[in-house]
Amino acid sequence: MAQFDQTLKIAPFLDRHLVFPLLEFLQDKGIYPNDQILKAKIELLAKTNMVDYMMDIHRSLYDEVPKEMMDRRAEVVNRLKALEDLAAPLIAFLQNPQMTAELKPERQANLQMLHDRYQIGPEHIDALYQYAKFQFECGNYSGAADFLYQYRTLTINSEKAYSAMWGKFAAEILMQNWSGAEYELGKLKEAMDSKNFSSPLVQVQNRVWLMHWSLFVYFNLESGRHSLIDLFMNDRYLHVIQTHAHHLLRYLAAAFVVCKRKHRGNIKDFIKVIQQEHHTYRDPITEFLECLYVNYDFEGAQRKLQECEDLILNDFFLGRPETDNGYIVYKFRDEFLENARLAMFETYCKIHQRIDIGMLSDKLHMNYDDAERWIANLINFSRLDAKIDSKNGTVVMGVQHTDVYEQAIERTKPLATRTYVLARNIAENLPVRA
Amino acid sequence: MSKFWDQGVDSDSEDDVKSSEDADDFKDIVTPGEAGNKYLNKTSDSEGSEDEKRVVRSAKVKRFDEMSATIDQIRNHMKINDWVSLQESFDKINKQLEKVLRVTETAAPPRIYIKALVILEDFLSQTLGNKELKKKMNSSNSKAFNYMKQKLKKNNKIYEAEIEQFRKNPESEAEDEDDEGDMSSEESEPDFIEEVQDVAPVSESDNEDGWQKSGKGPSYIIKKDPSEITWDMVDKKLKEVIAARGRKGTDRVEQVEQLTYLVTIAKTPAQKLEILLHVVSAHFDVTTSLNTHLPVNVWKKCAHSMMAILDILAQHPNIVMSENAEPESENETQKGDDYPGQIRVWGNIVGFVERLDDELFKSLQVIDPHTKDYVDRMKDEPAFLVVAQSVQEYVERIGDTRAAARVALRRLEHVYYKPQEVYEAMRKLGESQKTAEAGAEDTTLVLGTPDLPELSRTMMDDLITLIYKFGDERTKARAMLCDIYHYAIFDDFYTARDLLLSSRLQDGIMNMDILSQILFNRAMAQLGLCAFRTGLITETHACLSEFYAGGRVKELLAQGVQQSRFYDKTPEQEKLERRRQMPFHMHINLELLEAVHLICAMLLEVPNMAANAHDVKKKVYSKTFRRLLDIYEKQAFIGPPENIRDNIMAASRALMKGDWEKAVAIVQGLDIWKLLRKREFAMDMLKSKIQEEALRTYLFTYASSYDSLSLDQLMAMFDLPEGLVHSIASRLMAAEEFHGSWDQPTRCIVPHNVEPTRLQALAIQFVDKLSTLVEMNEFADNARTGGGGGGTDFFSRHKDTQDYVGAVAGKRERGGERGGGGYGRDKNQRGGGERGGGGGGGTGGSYAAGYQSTRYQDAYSSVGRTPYQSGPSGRGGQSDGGGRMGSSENSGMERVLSYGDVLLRRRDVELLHPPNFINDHIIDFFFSYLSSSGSSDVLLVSPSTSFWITNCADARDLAPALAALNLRDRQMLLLPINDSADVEYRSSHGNLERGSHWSLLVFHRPSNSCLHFDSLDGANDRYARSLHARVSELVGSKPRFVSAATPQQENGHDCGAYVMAIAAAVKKGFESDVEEIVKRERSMLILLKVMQGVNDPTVNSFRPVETGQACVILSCVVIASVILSISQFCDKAV
Repeated sequence: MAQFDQTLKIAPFLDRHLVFPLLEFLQDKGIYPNDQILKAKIELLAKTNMVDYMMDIHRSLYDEVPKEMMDRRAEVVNRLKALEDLAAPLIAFLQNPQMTAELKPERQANLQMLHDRYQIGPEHIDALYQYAKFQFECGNYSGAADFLYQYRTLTINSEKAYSAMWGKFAAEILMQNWSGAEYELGKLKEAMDSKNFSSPLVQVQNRVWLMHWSLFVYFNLESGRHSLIDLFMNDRYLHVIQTHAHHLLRYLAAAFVVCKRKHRGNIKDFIKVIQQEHHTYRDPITEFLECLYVNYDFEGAQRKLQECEDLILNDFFLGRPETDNGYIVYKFRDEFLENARLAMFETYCKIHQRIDIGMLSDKLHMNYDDAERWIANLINFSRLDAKIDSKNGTVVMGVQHTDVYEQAIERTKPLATRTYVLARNIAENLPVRA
Repeated sequence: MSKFWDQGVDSDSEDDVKSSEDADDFKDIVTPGEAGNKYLNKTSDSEGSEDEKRVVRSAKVKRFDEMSATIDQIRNHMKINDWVSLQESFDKINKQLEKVLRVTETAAPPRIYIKALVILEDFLSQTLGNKELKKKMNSSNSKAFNYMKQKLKKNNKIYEAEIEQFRKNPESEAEDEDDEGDMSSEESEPDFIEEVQDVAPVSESDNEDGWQKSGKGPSYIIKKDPSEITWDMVDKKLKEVIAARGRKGTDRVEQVEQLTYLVTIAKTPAQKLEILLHVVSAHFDVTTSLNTHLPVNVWKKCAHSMMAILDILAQHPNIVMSENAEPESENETQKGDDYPGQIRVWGNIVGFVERLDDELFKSLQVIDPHTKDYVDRMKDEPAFLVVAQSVQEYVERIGDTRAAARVALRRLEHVYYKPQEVYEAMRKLGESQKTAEAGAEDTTLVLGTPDLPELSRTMMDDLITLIYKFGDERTKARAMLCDIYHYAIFDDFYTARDLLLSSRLQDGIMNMDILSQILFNRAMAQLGLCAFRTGLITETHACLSEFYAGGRVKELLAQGVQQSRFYDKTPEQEKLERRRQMPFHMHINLELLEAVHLICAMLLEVPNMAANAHDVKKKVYSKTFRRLLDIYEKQAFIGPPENIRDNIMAASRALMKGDWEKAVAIVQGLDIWKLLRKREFAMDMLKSKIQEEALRTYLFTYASSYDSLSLDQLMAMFDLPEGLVHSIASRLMAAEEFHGSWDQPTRCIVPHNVEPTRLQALAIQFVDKLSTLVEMNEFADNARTGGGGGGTDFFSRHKDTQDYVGAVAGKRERGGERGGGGYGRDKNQRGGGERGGGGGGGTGGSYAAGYQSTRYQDAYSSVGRTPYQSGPSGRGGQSDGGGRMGSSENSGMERVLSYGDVLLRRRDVELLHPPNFINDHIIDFFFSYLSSSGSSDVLLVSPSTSFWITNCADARDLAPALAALNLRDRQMLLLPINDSADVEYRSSHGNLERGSHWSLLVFHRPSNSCLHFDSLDGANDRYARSLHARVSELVGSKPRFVSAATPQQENGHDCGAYVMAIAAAVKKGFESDVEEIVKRERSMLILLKVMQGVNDPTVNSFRPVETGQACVILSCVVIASVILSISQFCDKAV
């Protein structure tokens, strides 16, 4: 299943810390040899400050800890201390609820007040940022998130405030605080749209990052898939996907399958995109959509669907296991398969007049009675305009045509209003002319 | 053209003469150490060249003969004091001078020329003194005299010194007088040397000991032992030589020689460099015109000089060349080899490279591609690449990245269009030239091997990376286009497409320079071909359809000049266009392009036509294809197809019937495919595409005749696999293009056949009529209240319904295009649209079908004179003066006067005040006023009808439409002509209704002629001629076309008034005395002037008023009174 693994494609667009969950997931799945993953982890950690963790992994690999790691640990501790000292006055202030109550919504006034009454100047505020960053590097995400939040309310450096937003966003993701992360995501997106980037390329990069990071959020929130479609189908972002991050199409496609009903209008556009990018990116999910909506190849779709299942289970974002009453369930997979099957069936019905239930039950992997019940249910909930002919064992579709008389009524409807307006205009104009 | 060749031959022979010398010169550059020996060689050389000069002597003698003949003429003219002819002769002699100078290769004018100047000057001053004589001269003569006075003064200033000398020494003149022809060459030589002195008289006096004046050839400049020559001397001389640059009378070729010699005696490398730079510029000076190219050998010398420059720069890294260096900064170049610091020299080597490239390009444009010359010239390409590469290395070394990007682009543009095979050939050529270096020095230019990597892609990537990093916007854009082109050639469609899309070039390309636009077009064409080879029909069509929409393929790709049917280009435009042409080896085969385009259009359009056969609001993929198919089908006899177009049309017809086998056979049988790479693949692709489209067409066309269609049968019919048939049919059903569905158990398609019943169809029709009624009511109200009533909400609603009404109109009009093409754009247009929709039902709206905008319907309906013809015309061009329109919109719609069925509105009347153009409404009004009386033999055609006749696309529609006018029974037709440009041009540029000039065409049956009265002579000639052609068909005889002498308007806006006045005069004239019209043309001027109240004294100089002119006067008075009454009416209304 390594062929569909996208960790390598995604990783460059993530923060180091965000890659960890991905690696852990891979480790669980056992797609790659374990020691390779561990080595990758060490490499990843080498540039962060999570030295203890790194030493653990190293020990498990080689049963010893190299000296440089010990040195590095000491260095990290020292640096942390130094930064803490620098930022101490401000932190003390911020941790005192009485004092923070004095803060007003006005940034300048706050700064003035801090400076006058507590001798806290810009260098302290900057130190807070450094400290927060360091905390983040050490893996203390909640601390980092708090400090970054406070830093943002105080700083006047817009560049740093912007990167503080990223930091906060990452920290929220790592703490698995999804609603907080979604909030940060929204703010970040806003900031990005209003920000002036030094070059279009930087802007594009920022967008790519945002989209990758948002995957964490959207596939963990209940309504996340809709938001994902909204975000990704935005022209600017779609353009970025098409030029820089084709692999994101997988997630968009998966989201479309799951919430097809709500985005019926968009799906046509998306199919076009898939066709356009067919030569650069394809995987079972996009191919499934193609089979279904471009080629109307139901057998093919069926095959692809099976591949999709494997793919989903091996994808970090899509195949995350959840526990429900002690059982491990793959919520997204179930949802996906159910919707995909329904979509196939709908499309199939759309172009058929009569369908053999036996054949249908084969295709849907159900036995005859289940299939009949399933169809009957669909008809009952008026999701399907059809009747079952049980003697021949077929479903007969109802045929819909726009009624000509309806058309006529539709077209004549506005005429009355128009005539009315006309008459009123004439009436209005009469005195003027007289 | 012939002129060009003449010159070319001339200069070539000259160059041959010199080439032996020059070859020596280059050795000098390479071995500066041997200057002493060289100097000796030089003298012998120059003797040799003297010998050679005698070879061309005959030509020289001829030139001198010509010149002396001219002088004789001048003398004769003087005798009769004819300054007009003198002026001509003077111009002539100046031209001859140029020729002589070219032959003699000197900078000095021959003595004989100076003599002519002296004579003229004397005569001039003599005449100037003689007041009486001057008085006697008539106007043209005195004008010429004044002209000569100034010109001679200017001219003589250049030759001041010579003239003085001549005056001092008139004896020699007397001697020479008898045989001026013979004095030519020997005579000119001593003169020439003196001339060289005169160029720099100051230095001469300062330096008398240093300079000598004798000898021949470039070495005369410094007649000294090379060892004695100092830097100062060389520098001074150099300054003198370059000071002469660009002056009139400086022989450019001579200058090159002088400079080349100076190179050999230069003292320091820096100086040598400086001189070399001047040598290159002097080479470039040899041709001054933008349209001729540098002779090939001069080009090669240039390239050599540039390599020499680069050598110096490479050897002496302390020499810096920049454009910022002060050219005057003294003595920089004196610093010798060992000077430790920077030496700054002024120069722009990148500019030279670009110029060199341009010249190569130009020569390839001009040389006939089917000759060996062309091939030889192509062989110089590697040489250029060497130079460019070295220059690029140099500028990169000095860190001028911007310039490096520029040079890189030049290199890129020599590579991008070459497929791998061609590139390989060039690479081999470069290598073989290297091996052949020793032997063939003269024939091919060898400068080393260009460093060409094995794959052109590698080179492209290197260059493009550099350009993206450092280039400016234009350079980058061009590089990007080259890149796209290159990817397209290499069949990498997706990469090319993504590049194009992500660069967003297509958005901004309209704002770029024309050359880049051409490059863009080329890239698009290539991309289209690439898409075709990849099998992507829709993409191909998207890439190519624009080329064929306007029928200007050649122009768009710069592969030849296309003559437009609708307007002639000025010579300047043509010249410009020629300068942009692509050399032959870069061409994209147009036939192939057309075939590919038409096939794609066929594959898209045929099923589309079948699908929407009965639909009014149908989508059209390719208008071009539709038109061609229409034309093809209208042919009475369809012969066997001959050209590509016919073939594809035949294939289309087969395809329309579902006969895919025939279509495939025809399409695959085209010869042109041998030019297509990946031919087998393309053929297979075409076959399967045609099969698929045939299936679709078949389903659309014949499904209604079936109750069920079996899948197996379809598979057999179209030889397609089951999956594909199923997929195609399913797609059609899902998209609801085809109404039907599968019956899964029996494997059949069941068409639903949802054709409406008769009652339903009638119901729909009734609804249509109702909406039209409401629509018309709204218009009526709108017209009455001047558009103010409904305000914006009316307006916007109107827009919503426009499609609908358009559709109704279209339906009635034999499925023409939507009636309201430009509908709802402004209030005028709406007037037009209304008639299209509502009134078009009159005599037969069907003739308005198929044209591109409202205004044909507009024009047409005025023939039928429907009651709705009250809206102002769509042709607001002359009247809508931008902002004016907005302010007067409400008040301007008031009716002022209605006469018969013509209605004048306030805004029309306002146009009568002078600086406005008169619009077609006024003319229409006036015409109907005129035609209210008099015989029915004369027909005044309304402007809109006339416009329609001129511009309607299909002449065959005309005759039946105009039947009501009984054109064949009329004795005289008066047709106003407007110059609003041709239809296609306007619609493609979105600027409609922009005419600026009126004129009148009168068909006169008794004399069987069409008289064109144009108050700006010739301005409307082209339109008049096209109208004449149309009229000839309509009236049944073949009248001749006469540009009648017409009174000329004095300002820019009276053309309309003239047309009316002339029409009135002609009509009256016709009714009184038919034969008089032509005679009277000129005298009408007087009347018109009287009418305008212009008092011109020259009027009196014309012939006295003839009889029968009273009526003309009368008509003018009538106009005046009408205009007067109208304006009075306006005043009252206000």
